[in-house]
Amino acid sequence: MVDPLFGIAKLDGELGGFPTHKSVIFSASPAVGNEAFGYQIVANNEKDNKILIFLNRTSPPAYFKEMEEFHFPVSKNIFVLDAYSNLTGIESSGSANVIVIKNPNDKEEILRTLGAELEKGYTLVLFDSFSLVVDTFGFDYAISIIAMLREKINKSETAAALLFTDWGYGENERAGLMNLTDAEVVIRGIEKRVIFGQYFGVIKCKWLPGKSFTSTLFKVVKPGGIKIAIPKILVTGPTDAGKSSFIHSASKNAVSVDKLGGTIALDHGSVDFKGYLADLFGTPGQERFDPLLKLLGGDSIGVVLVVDCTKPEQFPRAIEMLRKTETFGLPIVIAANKADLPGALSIDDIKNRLHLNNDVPITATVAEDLSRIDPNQPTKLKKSGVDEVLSTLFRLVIEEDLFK
Amino acid sequence: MATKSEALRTVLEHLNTIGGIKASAVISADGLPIMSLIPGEIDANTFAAMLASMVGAAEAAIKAIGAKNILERVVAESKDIRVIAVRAGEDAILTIMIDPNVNYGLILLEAKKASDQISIVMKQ
Repeated sequence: MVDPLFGIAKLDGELGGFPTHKSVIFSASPAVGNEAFGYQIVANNEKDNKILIFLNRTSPPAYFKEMEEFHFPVSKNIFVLDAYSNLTGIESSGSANVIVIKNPNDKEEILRTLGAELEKGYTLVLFDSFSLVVDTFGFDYAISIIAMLREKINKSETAAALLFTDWGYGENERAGLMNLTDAEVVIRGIEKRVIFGQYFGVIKCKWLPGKSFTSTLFKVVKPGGIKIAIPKILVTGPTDAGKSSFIHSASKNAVSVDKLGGTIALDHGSVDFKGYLADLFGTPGQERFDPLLKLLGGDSIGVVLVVDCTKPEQFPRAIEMLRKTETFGLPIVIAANKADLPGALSIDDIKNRLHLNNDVPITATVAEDLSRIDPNQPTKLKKSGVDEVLSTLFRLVIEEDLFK
Repeated sequence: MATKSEALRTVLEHLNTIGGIKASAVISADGLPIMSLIPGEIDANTFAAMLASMVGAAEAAIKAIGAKNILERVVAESKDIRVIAVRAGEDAILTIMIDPNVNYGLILLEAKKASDQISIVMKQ
């Protein structure tokens, strides 16, 4: 077996994957769905792990249909303990991978069947949903289920995820339940000024004592699943440095408002990269469009500053543009473009001349093919450089706390 | 209590029932989609970025030629589609896509009403 992962970019980074013998509860406010977290975890682990889903929220066929909408594979490694079908009177499909609870209102049968199943060598267990267990049978019973679960996963190579919807339960009862799990991830909605969306954040992790965590915006996309959302990254820099080229190389669907090769209003592109979903906004470089810069910079949470390595005389303008877009001080990565052209300065030299903090990351980017450059079209940049800029910036951005 | 998103959605849903209105969205003045009811084939993110830059550029232009009042709306027209962007308070812009062959005056009136509602919701 291979150690499970969450399959959610930031969560795996922060928690170091999903260790066996551990239980993680996903506690969502009712306005925000948590089901996708379950699909994502299942889909990410079905190849190498034997998975048991305790399902009392919907029927197995409906569950698998939802997974297919995300284009997630439904394989023979996924087993379902069906505690739903017999409530509706519709017979469960009874396939080999579905274990049916005859009377889903019988708490003894659930405890017994679940206990027996947990002996069968599953490496990942998912409860969808655990709050329904609480709603149906009360907190005492839910606690006895967790206690049993903990005992079983301690003995075997198993990790457990519990999906929980926070229906305003009593504070003490809720805390009692959460304390029994090894980690707690909260999922909430945010409506702060113009940022409307959903976020998640780890609020407790017993296997990483003392570590602090930050919250992150996410989006659920079909197909694809859970992506870390970065609503606005500003790409700025002097004329002809390669801002549009960067955006067109980083995203598949970039749109530019340009005339004769120069951007006159903006470039926009969406990037889907390593579990992150980001929108890139590119500014024009020429001074006569400066009145637009403030508008384009508003609400950005990170900046790519593109400079032309062969034109140090433009560097003061580059810094000035950070001020004009009011993005000075945000997480920033420098893309030192045209680094392979004759007369290009070295990375250290560029750093010195830009007078930025020493810890500002700087990455060389170059055109994919110098012979195919059309001055009236964005140039395709080499993927390695673009990817390095993006991954460095995404790392910086998600380290910033959303609510600081 | 309804959340802001739900309140905005209600305003847009009402707009979309009016004859000739094909789609509508609330975007931020910085070009991020806040709430959109537009058909799936249109990329809401790109749409929001383009519309906001249109409004921003128009605002700068009208100020530069000496307008004393704030920009009220921007209209972009082609033979088959018309897009209107109306300010809805400090931070938001209401955008509506319409069929150009319908009662334009009525739609402007409805857009004004809706933008007032949106600016109240955004201030909450």
